Amino acid sequence: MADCSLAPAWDGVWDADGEGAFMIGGRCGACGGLALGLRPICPHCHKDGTLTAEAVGRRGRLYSATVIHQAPPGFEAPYRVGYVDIGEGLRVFAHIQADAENGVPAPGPGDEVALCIAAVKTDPDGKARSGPLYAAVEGAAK
Amino acid sequence: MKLRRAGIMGVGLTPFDKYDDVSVEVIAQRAVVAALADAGIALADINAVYASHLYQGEVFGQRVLRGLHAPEVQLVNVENACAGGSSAVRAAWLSVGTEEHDLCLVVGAEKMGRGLIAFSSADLELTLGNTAPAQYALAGQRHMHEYGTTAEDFARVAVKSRHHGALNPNARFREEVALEEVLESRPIADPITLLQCCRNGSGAAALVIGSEAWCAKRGGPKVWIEGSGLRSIMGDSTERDLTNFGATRTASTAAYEMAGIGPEDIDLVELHDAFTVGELLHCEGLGLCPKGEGGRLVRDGDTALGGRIPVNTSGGLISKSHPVGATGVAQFAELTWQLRGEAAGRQVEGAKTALAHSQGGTGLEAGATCVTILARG
Repeated sequence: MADCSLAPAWDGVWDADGEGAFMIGGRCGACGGLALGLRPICPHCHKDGTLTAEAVGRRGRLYSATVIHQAPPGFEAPYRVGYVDIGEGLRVFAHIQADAENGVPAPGPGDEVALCIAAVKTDPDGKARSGPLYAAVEGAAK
Repeated sequence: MKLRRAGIMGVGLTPFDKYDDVSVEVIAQRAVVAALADAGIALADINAVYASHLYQGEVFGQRVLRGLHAPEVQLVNVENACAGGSSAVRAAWLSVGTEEHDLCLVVGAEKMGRGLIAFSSADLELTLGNTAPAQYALAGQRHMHEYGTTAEDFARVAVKSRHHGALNPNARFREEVALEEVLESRPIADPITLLQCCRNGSGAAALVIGSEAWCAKRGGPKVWIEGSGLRSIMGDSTERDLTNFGATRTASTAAYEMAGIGPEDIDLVELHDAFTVGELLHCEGLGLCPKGEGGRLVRDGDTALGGRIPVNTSGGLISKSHPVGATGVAQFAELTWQLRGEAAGRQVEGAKTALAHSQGGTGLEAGATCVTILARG
C-alpha cells in the first residue's frame, strides 16, 4: 500500500511504517495539543520547539470529495480530492479513491477511509511525487 | 465607536474585458476619471487614496495616479485577495467616518491572463492539486450530502445571473444560457461546470467617498454606507462546517449590527459568485434564507430580478468576469446606480437598502470576507 520509494510532494506531513501509511501529527510537549505536521510553533499554546512527531490519520471519515477535471500543472485530470476527518479535531486534504476497486465502491461523505501513499503529481523535471490518498475500507460500517 | 456619516459621491467603471493592448494603469485611470466626473470633483480635492490590486506589482496606486497629475496625498495599496476591493472601500469609509479625511478615492484594478489562478504562495493543499473551483466544489458536495441540494440547483444560479447580465450593458457575457447548457458545459470540479465559473478578466472600478458636507454638493439621491464587517478565516487543518463558506456569517453579523438592520431589510445584494456554489452558500450565510435552503431560494426565483431579494443584478462575476482587485469595488458601482434609480434595464424598483459581499482566499479557506450595507438617503 505505502509506496515510499517516491519523494513526497511536501516534506514532513506523511510517512509510513510497518503498519502502513500515516499522517505526521505534531504533539505538543507543553500543552498536549495536536497539529498536522511538525512545525516550529504550537498553534494551541504558541510555545516554540515543543512539537514531536506522532503517527495519526491511518484511518478517518470522509467529509467531502470532488472530482477535478481541470488540473493545474503537474496533475493529470480527472482525479478525486477531498477532506478527511482524522480525529482530535484535525481535517486533512488528500487524494481520494475515485472508482470502485475490487468490488469496494469509492467512498462518499461520511464513509470510513484508510490512508495509503500514492504517486499524485509529476514535477516539471518529469519525476513523480507522492502524496496522501484515502481509500474505502472494505466491509467498514457506513 | 461613533462614526460620522460617509457616502458614495461618485462611481466609475471600466467594464471588464480583455484589454490586451491597454496598460493596467490606463484601465484604472479611466475608472478614476469617470468617478471624479460622476462626483463632480477634481482630483486635487481628494485627501487620501486606497488602491486595490493583487498581481499588479509595487506601488500600484501611485503608478495609476502619476499619470493624472495627482497632488501629494496619503495613498495605501490594499491586498486581501479577491476581497481587496471591498477592503479598500471599507478603509476609505472609515477614514472619512473617523474624520481623518473628508474626501477619499478608491480604485481597484487588475489585468489578468487565462486559466486557473496561480497563487504565488502555494500551500500544502495547492501543492497536492487543490484548485479554487475544487474548494467551492468540496463545499457544494458537502451541502448536497447534508441538505439534498442538487447539481441543478447550483446550475440555476448561472442561468439567473446570465439573465441579469443580458440586461446590463456593463456585463461582459450578455447571452442568456439554458439550464441544460450549463449542466452540459465542460466539467471543472464536480458539480461545477465551466458555465458556473467566473472567467478571469481585466478592468477597473473607482469610487469617491465623502463626508456629508461633500455629498451635499452633489445633486440627486444620496447613497450612504451604513455599516461594514470584515472577518477572516485562517483554516489551518481544523474541522469546521465547510457549508458556512468563508467568514460570511461573522462578517455579515457585524455589518447588520453596525447598520442596525437585519437581512429582511435588504432590497438587493451583490455577492461574490466566483462559482455558483459560492452564491448559494453565501445567500445562506447572509441570512437571506435559512441554512440549507439556498437551493430552494434560486429554484423559487427569489434571487432573480422581480423576486423577493434580487442577487447580482449586474450579472455577477459569472457575467462580468473577475479582475480580482476591481471586483469588490465594482459591486459598489452597481449598488450605487441601483440605489440612485439609474440601473437602466435591470432596476430594482424602489430599492432603498443594499448589501455588498466579497470574499477572497486560498487553500482551506484562509482568506477574507467583507460585507457592507448601503442605503439611499
